[in-house]
Amino acid sequence: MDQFLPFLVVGVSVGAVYALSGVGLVVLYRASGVVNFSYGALGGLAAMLCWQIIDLEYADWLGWVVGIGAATLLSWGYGRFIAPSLTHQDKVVRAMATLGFALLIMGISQWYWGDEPRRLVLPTDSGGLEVDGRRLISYTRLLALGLAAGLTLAMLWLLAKTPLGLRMRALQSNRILSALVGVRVKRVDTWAWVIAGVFAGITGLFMGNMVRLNPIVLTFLVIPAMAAAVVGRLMSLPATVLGGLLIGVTETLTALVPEISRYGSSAAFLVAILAILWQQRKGIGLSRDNSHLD
Amino acid sequence: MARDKDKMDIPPGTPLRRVMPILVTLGLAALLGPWLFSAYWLNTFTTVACLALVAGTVAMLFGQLGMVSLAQFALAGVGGWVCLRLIHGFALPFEVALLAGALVAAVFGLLVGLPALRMRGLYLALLTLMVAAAVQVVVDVVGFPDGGTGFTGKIVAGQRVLIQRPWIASSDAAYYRYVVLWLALGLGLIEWQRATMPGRAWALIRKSEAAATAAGVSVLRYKAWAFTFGGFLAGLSGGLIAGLNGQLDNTGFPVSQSILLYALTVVGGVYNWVGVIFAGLLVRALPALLNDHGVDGNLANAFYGFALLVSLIQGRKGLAGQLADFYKFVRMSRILEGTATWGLVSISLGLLFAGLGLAGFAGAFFISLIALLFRLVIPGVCWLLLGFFGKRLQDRAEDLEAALSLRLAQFFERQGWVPDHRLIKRLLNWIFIGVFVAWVASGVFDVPYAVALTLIWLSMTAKVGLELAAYPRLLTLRQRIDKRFPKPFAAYR
Amino acid sequence: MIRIENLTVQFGGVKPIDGLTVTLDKSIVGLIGPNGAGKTTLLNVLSGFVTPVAGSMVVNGVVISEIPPHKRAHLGLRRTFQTDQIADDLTLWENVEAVADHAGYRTQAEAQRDVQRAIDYVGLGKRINRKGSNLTTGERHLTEIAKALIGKPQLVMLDEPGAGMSESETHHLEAVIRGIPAYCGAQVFLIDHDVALIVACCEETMVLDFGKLLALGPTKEVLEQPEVRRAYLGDFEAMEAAA
Repeated sequence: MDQFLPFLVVGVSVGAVYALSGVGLVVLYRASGVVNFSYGALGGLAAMLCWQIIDLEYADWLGWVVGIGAATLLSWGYGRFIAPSLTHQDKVVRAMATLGFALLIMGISQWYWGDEPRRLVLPTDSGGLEVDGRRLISYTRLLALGLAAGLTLAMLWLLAKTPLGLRMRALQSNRILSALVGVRVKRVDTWAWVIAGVFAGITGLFMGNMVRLNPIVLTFLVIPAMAAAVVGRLMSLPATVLGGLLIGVTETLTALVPEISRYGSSAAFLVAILAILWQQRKGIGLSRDNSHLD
Repeated sequence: MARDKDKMDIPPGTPLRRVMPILVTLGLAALLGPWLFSAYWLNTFTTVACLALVAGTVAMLFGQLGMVSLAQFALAGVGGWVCLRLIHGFALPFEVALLAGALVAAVFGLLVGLPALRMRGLYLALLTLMVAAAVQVVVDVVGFPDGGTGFTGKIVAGQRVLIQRPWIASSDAAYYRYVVLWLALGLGLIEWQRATMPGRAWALIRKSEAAATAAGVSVLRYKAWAFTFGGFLAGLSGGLIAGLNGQLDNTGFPVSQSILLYALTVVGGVYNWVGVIFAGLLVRALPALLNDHGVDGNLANAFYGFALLVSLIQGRKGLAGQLADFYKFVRMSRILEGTATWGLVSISLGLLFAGLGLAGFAGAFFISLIALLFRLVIPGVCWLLLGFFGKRLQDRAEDLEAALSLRLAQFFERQGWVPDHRLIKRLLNWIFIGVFVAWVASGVFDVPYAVALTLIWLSMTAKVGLELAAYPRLLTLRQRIDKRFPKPFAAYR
Repeated sequence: MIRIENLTVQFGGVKPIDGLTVTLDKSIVGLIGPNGAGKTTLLNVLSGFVTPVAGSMVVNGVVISEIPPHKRAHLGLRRTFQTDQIADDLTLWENVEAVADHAGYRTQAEAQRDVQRAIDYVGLGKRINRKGSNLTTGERHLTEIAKALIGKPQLVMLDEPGAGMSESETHHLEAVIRGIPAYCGAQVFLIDHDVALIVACCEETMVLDFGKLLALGPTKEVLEQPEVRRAYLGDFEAMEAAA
């Protein structure tokens, strides 16, 4: 049990960050129909910028602000200027466009910062909850868990109780009809991208701290996030959170079994496939507009 | 120009007619390659051919069925792994191991893809991305077989063993031809399917899965077939890559490469087999070129991401699509005449300069060709480099050139000479292309600047001369060709 | 002949079809009703895209409830869609040929003959090489019908085939629909809002309202029933003009 616990703690906290990323992805998907592959890349940029600012001896909080701000700005920019040119194309194409965006950001980040080993240190790293004189969980990880819960609840509240959330759900249901009844599609879309950007920035900082501070690695951390979103059927926030936690825990717990320990990072794939198989057990029907099987 | 709606109906060709261009072009490439290229470029192009095969599967899935598979390159890794293991473990002949690897990759692809095939296209994209990531992890841990025993076939201590190439294709030149012929076979099979029953079913599915189902098409079966066939060809390609170097590298099949391959296939063009060749070149040859000139690979990746964005926004036709449009809008006689002229001029000047020892044949040939094609290539390059801004910039540049030449013409007029305004424009063009292309070419092809400049100006002059001399005599021939191959959209200047 | 017994479809809390029991055996049957009455849903259920929660369907003696949609097409149940589903990159011929590919012909020549026959029947013989994207709306709808006539269809279900057609095109459509039973022996089930078309083509008409059967009988009689007029037709003038 003793050796089990630290892994569990790490797994749950990483899982919480995955869950948070997943929530950001799902909120954006629900409002705009775009699966944002550039999520990880934006997070990576945020983390690298934050590190750079701290490295230049400026205040820590400035780093966070700049990092999250940059991610938000780029996400907003994409949503405002590039996404509109693609709205008439199908979802897969729009998702692939974000993949292009991800490559763009990743390429520039990797070119500028390269592969040097670096660490993103957050002030909450140094303290933590102690039990019997031993550190159980650092404040950073606690913060991650707290934020995951808090921001998810905030998003649930946003979608269910606020006018903006209502409009987002209308957009998801039928974009054209929403525009016809007066929902300001571009504005709602933009808000969705801004929210996604903030989430990307925050999760990027945490991943940079907890996983590795490397643009490529951070870019591809979008994969567990997407696996979490798949568990949530790209719809349900609570299920996404569950998925994220599951993936985080599975990944970390594989370290306990020597034979499979090095395969840990394929946990995302495993969880996603199981989730898809589970979701299909009732069979397939037709989507509402008769255009595809769903 | 006629609009699409007014156009003549042109009956579709028979399947053989559609496959022929692929077989002929690639056959020629296989034949002439070893004579035209140095050993280094030959090896590069062999890899390009392998990558083009994988790109072909990506294009088939995305262009024909709208299915995004980001795992094709990973499946190549699987195929390569099996091929290596079988050769090391059982000393099977190369072809047998190759096909076995392809088969395993196909089945593996189908197994992991099947759950997502029944659901929205997005899920397939997500799932294949995760497959690619998982394969990267597994390959990283397990490595590729290199002569050892046990399931993984890894040598623990001692020298790695390379596999031998098939005995009919052991030299670099022979292996190049071998691979290009496999490529021709693969792409040919894809095109054949496009032209017959599967292609029609795919078109129905692409438009609407429900309508296809209502017409009696089993959507799942066709998607599964396409995915399996795609996996098969991808696995085949992996085996061919293994054969090229005798081994495969642990780090050779990362997720980023899978994603890049998808991106560049879209940029190259998914609706046309030529686009697939472009994709292979972009993935392999371009980075090598950029590397030679000190451009960081990451910036290249960033650029590819941008190019993918641009391609998707502008309708996925890609570079090949732009070429196809060009083909649609130009008379057949003009195309034939142009090809003959460029070919004649480039080859003869290439031989001349090589004979005089001023430059390598390949270098001289390409420099001359680029100079002649410059005006045609520029729109494509502008589009690629600048996307949406490319057209505007190009228009501005042309306006500038026109204004400049007009000023010059007016100046000469005032001096008492009365030159043709167009002549001035031609001259400016000539000078500019010469200077600019020579600068690029001397860097890329390692040819002295003066030599490149002379070569370019000689090519352009030769082309003009050839056209002036031959045009009047060939008028009736051109008219007969145009009648035989009508182009409803071409401008008949 | 279509025999439906106690058919119920449920989407969440909504029942688009509620305990429907009806037997349709005339050669051309019409289906009308206000929007949301369940017309397209009925078509979807018959063609297999929607699964009912209760009830059975028997077409020409075959119980079709367990058969997957693409197999129902092989059995001879064909349908068209409200929005056109013509593949843009294929020519008209290839679009219809794609259906013939799966109609179980033994030789290529037989399939080609059937394709030619179907295209000629709907009157598009001159357009066989036109790309799908270049066809007009009317031509598209007619192509859809040609696709439905391939093979040996037993039941041809048309979902608003006249949408967006001009007056002359609609006359042509009438002739096409009326000739289907003679052309291939299939029963025709026609959904449309164009009452004139229904009157011209259908011997018998069924009226659905909120998932329940409102009326069934010879077309003219059904259209004169007060409940039908109240629920669907509105004023007397419109009905007069159509009759």
